Amino acid sequence: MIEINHLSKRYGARLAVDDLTVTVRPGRVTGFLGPNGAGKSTTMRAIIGLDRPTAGEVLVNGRRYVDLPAPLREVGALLDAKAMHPGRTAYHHLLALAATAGIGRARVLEVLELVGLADVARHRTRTFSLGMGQRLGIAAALLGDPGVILLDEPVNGLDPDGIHWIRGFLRARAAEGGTVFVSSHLMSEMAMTADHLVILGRGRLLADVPTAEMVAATSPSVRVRSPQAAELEVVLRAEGVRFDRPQPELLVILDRGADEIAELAFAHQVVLHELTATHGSLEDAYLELTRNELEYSTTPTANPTDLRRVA
Amino acid sequence: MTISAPSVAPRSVVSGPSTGSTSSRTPGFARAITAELVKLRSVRSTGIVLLVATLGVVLMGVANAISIAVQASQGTGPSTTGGPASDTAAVALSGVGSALVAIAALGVLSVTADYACGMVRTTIAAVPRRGRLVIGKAAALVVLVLPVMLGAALLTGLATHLIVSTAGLSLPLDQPGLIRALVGSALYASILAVFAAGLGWLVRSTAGALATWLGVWTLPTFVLMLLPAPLAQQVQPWLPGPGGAGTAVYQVGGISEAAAWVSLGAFAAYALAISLVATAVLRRRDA
Repeated sequence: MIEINHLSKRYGARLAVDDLTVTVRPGRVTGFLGPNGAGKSTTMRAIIGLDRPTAGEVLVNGRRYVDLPAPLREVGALLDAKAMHPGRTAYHHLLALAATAGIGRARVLEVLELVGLADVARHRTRTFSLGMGQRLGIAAALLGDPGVILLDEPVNGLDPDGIHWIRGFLRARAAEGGTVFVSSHLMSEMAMTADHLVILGRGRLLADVPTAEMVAATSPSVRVRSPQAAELEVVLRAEGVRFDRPQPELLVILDRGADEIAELAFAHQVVLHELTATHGSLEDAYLELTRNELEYSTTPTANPTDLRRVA
Repeated sequence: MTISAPSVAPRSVVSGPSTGSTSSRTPGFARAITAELVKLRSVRSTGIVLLVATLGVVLMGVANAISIAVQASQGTGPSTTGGPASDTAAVALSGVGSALVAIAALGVLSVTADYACGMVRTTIAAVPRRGRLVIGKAAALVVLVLPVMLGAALLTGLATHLIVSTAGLSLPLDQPGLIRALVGSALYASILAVFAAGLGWLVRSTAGALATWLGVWTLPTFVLMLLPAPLAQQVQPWLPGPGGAGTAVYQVGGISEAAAWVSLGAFAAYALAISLVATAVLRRRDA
């Protein structure tokens, strides 16, 4: 269990995390989402005591991280896959970390086997690819068989095989009762892994919801393009349909299916140039939620439809 | 590359019995030291630097011993001007000064290499107590440097004895201050490594920390030149650097035993102070 209480972190003039209060519970995979620069990594660094909070505090299993007698036995964290000495072998990298928690070399060999690095255990890490470095980082996080797993963008650089393995691993850990907190800026990745979502934008909490609820909240819509949009609008109003008219010739229907709209248009002799049913996806809901919270937005005025097309 | 199936083995629910504060602190320190020792031993640069330091002590000592032996056999040696035993002892330790540069580099690198690659964050995540981290690094350096430098000093003492004895001179082991000087040179080197590591924690970059060390080592000498000579002579032994605090401990002649140890104590106090400052800074600073 991770309890984040009113956490704020300021770097100079920039407020990276702004009064964040979230509890990450055991028994489920909690996805930590947000655009780049939203404060995900900063939050994770504060959890494991790397960065000092400007205000607030974080408790892991009821204690500050710095007060844990053997942190690796309680928290397995992977924040930066390249945070290892290039001249040290994978085996020695893990052996040194294991020593901090009184963990023996048998467990070191075990985790190397587990992540598929047993064959290159005696190679210096400078020879490793990004994916291999990522696996070594995961091996380090597993050393102490911790109840809390904390991973920052773990699938970066992993091959499909590795991504599949990570998903299975995180789900298994959560099923055993572990607390699993995984960050990503990709909604699609989290949709497949997480049971619960914590969404951050510009350092503030945007959502703390079950993934299923987030999916349910994304409603389908119908795009209608017509030279007689004005006439169609009158018809729709009469029928009590909820819709937007973002452009003179474009209507976006929010609470009716494409078939109903087609029949209405036919009945009232309105010409349609386009009739498209768009299924609201989790990605759309995420973009909608974070649209106004993008730290480094390329097109500040872009609406979510445009973002979708680019993505 | 294939990956084995995710671990679904049952985890131990009990996270160890909670022990008293004293018994849970002690293994923490011991483990931090062990971890830092594994880290130091498992990179090539440590072995290279220690080899360079050893060679510096041994080769310089041996070369000077040979030169003394040659001069003595020709009747032109320093034996005509001073006590022969005292001079040969000084010769045995003449390489210590050059070895110290390598030792300081080892101390600096032991910390700044962690910063350069980001390993420092992995390390702090494993040992979040900053004091434990600084002590762990310092103790590991002492554990490595002390026996190596002690071995180098004793080896050089023995080699010098053998070489000068061919010229009819000797290096009697019971000579006052000789053993203290040999052991003291190794202690001084160990403390220097801790001192340099402290600079590493504060400055973080290898180049910056090495430059800072060089400044701390040489600058006081230049400042002393501005002082009146009698004052300068009084201040000199208490400053870090050549001829300064601690260096008396590896001088054989012209110093009392007590003064030698006090001098080393002053240097140890500097190393302790810089380690404490480093700990305080690490506690405040984001890793």
